[in-house]
Parts: sequence; structure tokens; C-alpha cells
Amino acid sequence: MSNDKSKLLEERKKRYLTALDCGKPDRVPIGLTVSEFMAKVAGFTLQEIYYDLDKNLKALAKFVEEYEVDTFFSAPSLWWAASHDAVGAVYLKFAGRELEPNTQFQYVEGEFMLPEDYDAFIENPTEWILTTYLPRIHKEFAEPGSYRASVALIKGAGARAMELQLTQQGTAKIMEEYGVVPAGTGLTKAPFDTLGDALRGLKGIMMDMRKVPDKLKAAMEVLVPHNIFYALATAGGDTEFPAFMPLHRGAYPFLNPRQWDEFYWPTLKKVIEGLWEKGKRTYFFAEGDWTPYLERIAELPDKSIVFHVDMTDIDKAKKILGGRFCLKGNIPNSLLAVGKPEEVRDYVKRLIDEYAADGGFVIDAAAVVQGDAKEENIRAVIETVLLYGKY
Amino acid sequence: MTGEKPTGNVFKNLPPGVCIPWEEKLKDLGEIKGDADIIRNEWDKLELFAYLYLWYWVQR
Amino acid sequence: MDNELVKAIAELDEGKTLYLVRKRIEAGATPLEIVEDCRRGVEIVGQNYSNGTYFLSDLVMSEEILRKVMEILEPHFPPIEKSGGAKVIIGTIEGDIHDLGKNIVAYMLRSAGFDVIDLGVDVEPKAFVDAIVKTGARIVGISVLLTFAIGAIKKTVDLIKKAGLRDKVKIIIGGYPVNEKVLEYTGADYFENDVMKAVELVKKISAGEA
Repeated sequence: MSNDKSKLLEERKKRYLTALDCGKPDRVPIGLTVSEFMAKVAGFTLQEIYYDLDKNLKALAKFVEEYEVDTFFSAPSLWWAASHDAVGAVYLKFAGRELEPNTQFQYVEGEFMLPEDYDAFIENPTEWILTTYLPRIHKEFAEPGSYRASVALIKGAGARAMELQLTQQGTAKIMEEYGVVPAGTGLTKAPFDTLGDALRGLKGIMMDMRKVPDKLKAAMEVLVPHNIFYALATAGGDTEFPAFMPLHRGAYPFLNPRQWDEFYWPTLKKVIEGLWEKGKRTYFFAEGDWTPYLERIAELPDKSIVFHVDMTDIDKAKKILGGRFCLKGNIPNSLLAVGKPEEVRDYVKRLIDEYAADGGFVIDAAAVVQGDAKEENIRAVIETVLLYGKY
Repeated sequence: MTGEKPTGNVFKNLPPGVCIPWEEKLKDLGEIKGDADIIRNEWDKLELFAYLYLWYWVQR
Repeated sequence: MDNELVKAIAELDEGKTLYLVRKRIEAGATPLEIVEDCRRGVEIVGQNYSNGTYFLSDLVMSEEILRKVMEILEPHFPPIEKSGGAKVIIGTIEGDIHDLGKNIVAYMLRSAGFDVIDLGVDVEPKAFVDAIVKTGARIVGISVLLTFAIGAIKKTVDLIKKAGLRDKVKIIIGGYPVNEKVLEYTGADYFENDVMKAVELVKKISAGEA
């Protein structure tokens, strides 16, 4: 690493971590959570970044080279499509396969865990995943023990190892060559979302709250240590940067407040507190509107989360969480997509003046920045922070 | 959909990071002539990889 | 008058609802009478959502209960008669496959007597135009969750214009990312983020009040 790059890396790290600790760094950090937008910057189709790991990482390098950000989120594609093809994944659709080459990937939601699976899941989720769940979500693995299934398992595991290694090398390169720090390390979920996203599905889990509440609760309790462990293991043990936690079904108005208190919050709180006890902060990526739950979130230990503001009322978030937790957000993605640079500038300036003035704030979009954002608008974000964001 | 019926588990209540407990493997290995810790450490690394592979499909 | 059934649905009591429906069939009630009570129950569910007592999970539950009621009633029904209500085309825009909001709006509109033509998810712009031509519907609802799919809404509105149908239909866009700015960009007529307000809006448009 060259000297000036390592100095830059230290500067940015200090800037970011100071803000996460609710302090005032030299200026407001720029922590844009950017995904498919990077493909556009690098001139790749979405199929190219979904399928070609090398291009996926190159797009990230191109982005941090051209845009002066303090942190990076990940390479543009969270998925290596080939690894999902190898196992015959039924829950994702990819550009270039069943979608047009420049189309955002799509989730196919399903009830891949059935209500009658709860007992086996509660008894030993790891084993249940292999024996019951994978055969359902991986077409190639539909008959474990068969020739095709065995090949799929070899390929799936091999792909995962390759992907992890290349991603680690790629991100280390971003830090060394561009002096940009990761916004987070490791990933985990709220136990309710682990079940509600990939296993029971939205409708399934909503039924479970009424029909099998005790089993749902028992399953979430079983998930608590696994979700804590998963965050730390996927972070490779790092506790300097927060663990990314995309939060879904806890947003208003999915659950009524009684359900939120009874089902969503208790195990989520345990995961966050468990991580914090191990020195790991959680990047609370609150997708949607979390305004009604801010008081409950404020029960968490000081600084144990970075609260990402999407549709949440930012004034209330500032009032209730400010000073105790770093806030991150909240330039509307529709503004980045259809607005003019002047409008973006005004918005960012207002964020700096009204919410970042006393520190503990990171500038970001409201949601993950995809291919619809205009390049001039992303530039406007950065220029505005560089111009007005000094403390 | 295949695997319609839950098949029942071989192991119960395994902690995170474990697919096949070391104690179970020890039974297969019988007498260990050298340093058991060396064997166990490497065993645990691959256990962790298998565990993370399986949970990857759930935490995605 | 069977207020018990209305109440059971309003309270989202699945067991009681299904029990009452079976009992009433045995007692010789017509499916239409039962459906009318269900509609009243669902109306209360909608009101409870609007006033903040119920949430999306409650709407999903009421949809599930109604689905089961219809399963029971199906064999007793003459072939589904058209509701005779105003036609509304609804669909999730191309590039987006989220259907929760769309399904609930469709379900609430049907309960309110509208003839809903549900085009499903990932609906290409041309399919909206074809549906307008085919059904003569005057109201089009386009649902979106993902911001990057907003461009396809603009495409749809433009295509409707190009087909010479723009002044024949009112276009409502709905979902998480829509706002004044998105409305202006897409060229639609109305936007709404709230499921029940969207239903109210359709009622008003249909009655010529909006």
C-alpha cells in the first residue's frame, strides 16, 4: 500500500468510526450504499456483474475510483449467479438468464418452509436446512444422494469458497488501492426476518403469529445464537465495523404494535445486545418506516447500532435516537433517479445543517442505490458534502 | 416440492458453527496417536465452512 | 341478519367465521347473503386499518379467512356472477414482483363491489394498454415497490397516451416509493401510499368526485 493511500484509509476510517460513535469527525462521512449503480458507472450490463465475479469487483473499483466516498458497501452484485445456477436455485431470477440482460435481479418469494417443519427446525435448524430445505430450493439437489444432487453439492460448496476468497481479496484491494473502508463487515438478520424472508415467506409468517405463535417464538429463540454467530463468522471476527442487518417485516405498517412487541422485537433485541456484548455494532438497516418503534429501539445500549433512516420520520429519529446512536441516510432514491442536481444539493445541504450539525451522522441514500440513479445526482451528493460538510 | 415430510434429525440442539459434533467424530476416530488438538482445530475450520454454506441459503 | 358473522370476520376469528358459514349454509342461507355479510365484515376490517387499529398483517389474515370462506361457498355458488361494479385494472409494474399491496387493494376493491381485472406482477406496459382496450375499464392502478421500476410506469403512461386512451382513463400509482415528484415524472393522475386510501380514491373517482 502506498503511503498516501494508507493515510487516506486511516483518515476515512477515523471519520467514519468517529461518526458511528456519535462524535464529530473532520467532516460528515459519505457512506453511500450503492449496488447496481456501479455497473452503470463501469459500463457493464447487469448480466455481466451478476455472472462475472471479476467484473463485479471491477465495477466496485471503478466506482470508488470515480466517486469520493468514505465507505463502500459491497460489490454491486450481492450474488454470483453462476453459483445459484449450479444448484438450480428457484428463489432468484437473474438478468441474462430468464430476464433481459440489463434488468435488476428478482426474488421469487415462496413458502419454502412449511408450518409442519417447525418442530424439526427448532430441534436442529442446521440439519433441517440440509435435509429438508435445500432439496426444496435447489432443483439440482432435489434428490439428495443422487448423481445430480451430489454434483450440485460439490459445485455449490466450491462456488461459495471461491466467491468468499475472491471477495475478500477484492475488498482488501479496495482498501489498499483506494483507501476506502467497508461500511460494515458480516451480515445477519432479525430472527423474525430470517423466518419471514427466505423460509416461511411474508404471508406464512403472518399466519403463524395467529396460528402457531408458540412455535414461531420457539424457532426465533433458537435463531438468536445462530444469528449472532453468523454475523461474527461472516465478518471473519472483525468487530471494528458494524454487521449489516437488513430489516424488513418490522417496518410500519406490517405488524400491529402488539405483534411487533411480542414477536419482532424481543429476539431482535437479543441479537443486537448479544453482538454488542462481543464488541460488535449492528448496522440497523431499517428499510421502510420505523417511526412508531423508535422509543423501543432507544432501549438498546448506547452506540450499539447505526440507525439507517429510510422512510422513518427523520426529525423524530433525531430527537429520540440522536446523540445516543449514529444516524445514516436519507436522500430519497426517487430524488436521485428523477430529480435535478440542484434539488439533490438542497436536500443534502439540509441534511448537513439540520441533522449532522452535532455529529453522529453519515450521509447516505434512503435505500440501496440501483441503476436508476443519475450519475450527476450522485456527484451532486458528494460535491455538496465536500463543500458544506466540514465541522 | 420434494422433501415434503420432515425427515427427523440425527442430532439435536447443535450449537452454531457445528454440523457434526467433534465428540461424534471422536467415536469414529478411535485412539488418536498424536496431538488431538491439531486434528480438532482443522476439523472445526471445515465444520465452520459447512455450517456457513448451509446457513447462507437461509440468511440470504 | 347475522351480525355474528360480520363480527367474526371483523375480529379476524377464522375458526368462528368458518363455523358460522357452514352453519348458515346448512340453515339454507344463499351464498350471496353470506357474501354480503362477509363484505360488511371486510368493510369493518378496512375501517380498522384506516383508523390505525389494524395493520397489514391483519389485512393479510382477513384475506386468508375470506379465501377459505369462498372455498366453502364455491360448490354452492352459481358460476361467479360479475359484480356489475365499475371495472378497475390493476397490476404490479414490469420489473417488480411485489404483490402484497396490489393484492390487498384488489381484494378490498372486490369486497367493495368493483370488477377488478388483476394483471398480476411484472406487467409490461403494453399489457396495461391491451387490458384497457379489451375491458373498457376507466380506472388503472399501477403498483410499485422498487424505485428503479418507476421508469416502466412512465413508459406505460406514455404508451397509453400514444394509443389515444389517455383521456379515457384515470391512472393511479401506488406503493412505497411514490410521491408528488414521482407522480409528476410518470404523468399519472393520482398517487397513494396507503392501501385503504387508495381504495377510497378509486371509489371517489368511480363516483365522479375526484
